[in-house]
Amino acid sequence: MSDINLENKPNRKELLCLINQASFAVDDVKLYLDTHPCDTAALDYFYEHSKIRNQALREYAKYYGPLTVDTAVASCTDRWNWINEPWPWQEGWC
Amino acid sequence: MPNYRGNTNDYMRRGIYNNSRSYRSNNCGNTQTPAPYTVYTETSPCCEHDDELSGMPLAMAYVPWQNWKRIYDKEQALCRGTIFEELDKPFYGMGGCNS
Repeated sequence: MSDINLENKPNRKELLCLINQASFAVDDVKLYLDTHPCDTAALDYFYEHSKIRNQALREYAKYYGPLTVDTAVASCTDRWNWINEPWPWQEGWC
Repeated sequence: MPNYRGNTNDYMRRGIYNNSRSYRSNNCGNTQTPAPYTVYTETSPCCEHDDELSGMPLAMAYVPWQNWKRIYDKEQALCRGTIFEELDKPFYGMGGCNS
């Protein structure tokens, strides 16, 4: 974990809330895009929030452990961290 | 939201169904199971002739085309359960009886 700057460590709960918000926005606009595949405004919204989500997921994995298998490599350790972090339902988070 | 619930002829939404539902005894003293629906008469409140959709074929459902507008920010969207302000409808959770 040598490349982690602990001074810039994000607040875990805030980061998880951001992931939840961005994930929901992406899921909902996906449904709209299913019937409006050429709506450029909706596509922009999708790309914007998908980017926010992916960055937040990588950030979370880097500091706290992976939430998705796609970000498991971003946890930057020599051991498997998948089960180390508390599950979201264990701490009453949103 | 003129077509969401306000102009429906569905009398169940107006509480008539539950308010008038009662168990009665017949001549033999046995309790009868009530009819599933209140008797529908011309004097029932549900007979108002204010239906915007009158004249359209019966039993045909439709969904208006949605346009991209009035989008919630992501914080409010998660809270409201939709990114679309237009789809943020009230939830009564009372089985259609809002009274």
